[in-house]
Amino acid sequence: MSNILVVDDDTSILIFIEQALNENHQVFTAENVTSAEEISQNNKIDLLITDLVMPEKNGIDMIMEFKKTHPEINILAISGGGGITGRFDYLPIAKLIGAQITLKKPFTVNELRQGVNTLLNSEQE
Amino acid sequence: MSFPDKLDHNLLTRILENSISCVLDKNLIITQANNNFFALTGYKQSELIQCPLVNFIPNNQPSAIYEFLRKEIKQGDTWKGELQLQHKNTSTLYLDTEITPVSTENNELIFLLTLVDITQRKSLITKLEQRAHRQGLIAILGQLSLNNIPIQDLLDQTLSVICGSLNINKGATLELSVDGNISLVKSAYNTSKMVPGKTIIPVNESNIIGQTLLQMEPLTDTASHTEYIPDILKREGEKTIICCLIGDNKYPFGILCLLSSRREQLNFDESNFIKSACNILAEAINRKNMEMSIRYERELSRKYLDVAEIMILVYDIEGNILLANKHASFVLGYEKCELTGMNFIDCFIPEDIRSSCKDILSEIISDNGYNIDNSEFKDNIIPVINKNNKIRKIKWKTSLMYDKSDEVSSILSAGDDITEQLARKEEQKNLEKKLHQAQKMEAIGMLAGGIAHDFNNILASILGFSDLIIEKTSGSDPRLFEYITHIKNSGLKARDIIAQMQNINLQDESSVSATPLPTLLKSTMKMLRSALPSAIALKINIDETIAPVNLNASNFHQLMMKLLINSRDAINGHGEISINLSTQAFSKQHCTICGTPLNSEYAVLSIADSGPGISLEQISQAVTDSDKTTADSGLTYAIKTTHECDGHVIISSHHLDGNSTKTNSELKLLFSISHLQDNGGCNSDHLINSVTPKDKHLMIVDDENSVATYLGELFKSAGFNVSVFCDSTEALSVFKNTCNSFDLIISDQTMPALSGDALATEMLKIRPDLPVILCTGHSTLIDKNKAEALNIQGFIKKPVDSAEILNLAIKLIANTAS
Repeated sequence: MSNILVVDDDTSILIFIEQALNENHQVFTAENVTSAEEISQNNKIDLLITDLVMPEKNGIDMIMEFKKTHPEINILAISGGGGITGRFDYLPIAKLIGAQITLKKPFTVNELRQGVNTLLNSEQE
Repeated sequence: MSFPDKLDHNLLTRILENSISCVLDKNLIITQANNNFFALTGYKQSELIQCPLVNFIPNNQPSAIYEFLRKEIKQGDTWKGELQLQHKNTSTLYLDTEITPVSTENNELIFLLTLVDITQRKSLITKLEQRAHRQGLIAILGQLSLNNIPIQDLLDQTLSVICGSLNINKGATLELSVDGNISLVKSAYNTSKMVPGKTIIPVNESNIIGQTLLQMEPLTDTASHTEYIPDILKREGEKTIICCLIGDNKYPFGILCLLSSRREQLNFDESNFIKSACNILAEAINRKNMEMSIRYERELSRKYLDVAEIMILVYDIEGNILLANKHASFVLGYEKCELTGMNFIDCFIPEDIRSSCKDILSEIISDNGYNIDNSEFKDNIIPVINKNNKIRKIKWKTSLMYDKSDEVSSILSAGDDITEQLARKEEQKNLEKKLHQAQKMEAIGMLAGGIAHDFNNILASILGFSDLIIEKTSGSDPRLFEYITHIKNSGLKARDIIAQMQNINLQDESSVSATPLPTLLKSTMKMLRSALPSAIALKINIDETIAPVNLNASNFHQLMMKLLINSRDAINGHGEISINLSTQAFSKQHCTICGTPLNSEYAVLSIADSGPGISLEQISQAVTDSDKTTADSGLTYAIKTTHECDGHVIISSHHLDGNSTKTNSELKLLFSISHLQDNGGCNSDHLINSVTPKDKHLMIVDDENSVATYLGELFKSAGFNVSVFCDSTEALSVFKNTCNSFDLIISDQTMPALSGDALATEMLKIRPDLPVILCTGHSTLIDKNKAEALNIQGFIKKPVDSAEILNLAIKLIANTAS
């Protein structure tokens, strides 16, 4: 049982991911970066699943912060791609900044679980 | 006359008293003379009596009188004639003389001379003769000058006539320079010291010319001198120098100088003669100058007309051309001399507007205030058709010319050929339209990108929850399972479409890279299928083994869209479009467009439809247009796009089976096989993979510590080596020492001492290829265009989006590396 923190401004995505993973993991959800930081301060988070394009603070900055404050954390970045400006893809940037796995929305439950398992199992090893 | 045999003494005495007379003995010695004779000759009695008459006769007197006297002795006849005697004062006396031989009372033969003084009359006659002669000379000179003989000849003639007539030893005419400082000998008479055209005499106070010009008082011998004399009469030793201005006193053309050994001064006639000759010279020179200046003016006017980049035509009220300038001849295609006499309206106005132009012409002639602009010809533009049958659009300005009786004599038209100008305007309009279209497309692209992002979020829920429902119900209700599966499949289809849309949208429009054509073609066709009516059958044949080709994926997408739309329109919405992609090796063929010989392997994309095919006209139009930036037909775009990435085009025509009159053309686009690294679609993934952050060293300069640190952290997180500076001056000095160790500079714009643009400028002086990103908040001093002008490659507005700046940095580093 690992602690997973999911951050996305779209609540339906939060619910979907929670429902997809909560059988085997403790899933925390946050609609913004501020509440995500709060949760991470109170709980030891093994895996951060975060959207990249969010209104107040983007996921890239958050990944950077988390890598600094929780160097051991696993990160899975999710994004609809394209970004607000539509001119470039955020996912490769997230990978560069430290996300081990990126998933392009929409993804299937299997794709999600596969990604999560890869990260958590590699940690257990 | 009766001859008195004997001379009565009284009679003799009476005769002697009443006339001027004297008596000679047979040896012609004066024996007697009366007082009148003494008075006439100026001699006293003692000086005359007993002296031979011959002593008083000038040397040059003809000997006729002696001949007579000798004969008379024999014949005893009377002689009448003219006798010249020398006055005591050496002047010559002219005397009407009658000599009568008489016998004295002693039968001695004596001669009785009765004299009438005609000296005055004689000198008057001589004067009149000379005057007439000189007037004749002046008339001849005048005639010569009017006959337009060269000025030089006239000068020579005049000088020799004056010198000859006045017995002058030497003479010259001098021309004064425009500034009046030097004079040049133009002609010379009897002197070797002055060579025409070569001898230059400076004009100063000490010389004659200078003195003449300074209006020096004429030198005269007598204070009571009343006769007219030439301007200067100066004595130098035994010689008299005479100068006379040619031209008016204020602006003389030159001076006539004469050197005479005569002591006596010039008389009125002589002075007048010189003056008149000089006047003739002055007038001739003046006339010549006027002629030259008129000719110059005319030449100048003609040059003005010809140099003008505007057509100038003068034609009569019928439209017959009277004058045309060079530009008019250029535009109309005829020589100037050919144009004269041609009817402008009949020969150059296109037939369809000829009659309305004639109406306008008569309107203009009848009413000065008529404005062409109010007619069917807006902006005064009336087209003309030239010799080559080309229509030129001319903007006209017309003005009327009147004769002495105020009637319109001719029309002056100035025409500006604005054909190219109008074409340029049209082209610009098209460009603006295209730019507008491009901007719209870009906006739509961005919108589509944004929508795609949001749509993916929505699809994530739809697909995710579908998955969860399938999982939770785990087939308990087969119908529910079927419904959910439908939802999931539709979601997956939507995902594919969005992915294609994003793929196109994320392409970099300018870069050509190794592109897997089969994949690109398939995805493009998937997208474009929806743009084609279902009545069109698409037959696609793709050789999957084709190696990546040089191509810009975004342009390819557009190219396919344009070609498919062409085909769709060609077959009127129903029929078949077949697309074939294969590899083909070429050896003997040439590119239809650029003629380059083809001798390697190409990926060949051929597009054919069941329509009538491409007409030859369309092809030639496309070839012509491919040079233009505005070209947008499918074919033109295809030609442009393929050539931009080393590709070529082959257009081949072949006769359709069974019908030899109908041809069909096939378009083959040849894409060159790429030797570039495969970038898998030219997205940022590729860019990021091409850069190894740990090998790259970045300099970050921002006077605000927090920003500098944040950016430093960001790039460190991404794996880059980073040097952070809060002082731009320090950054510059470090850079100067280790300029080659940096791969990218990121700098703030507004900083104390050294601003971002100044810092970048200094650095780029050392390393012009260095990529620099300038971050600016609300600086009005610099914008994207100014930054580009300074060779600053990156420009980002604050607050900086971390993803955006990372993306830009990687792109610039990758570009520099390549």
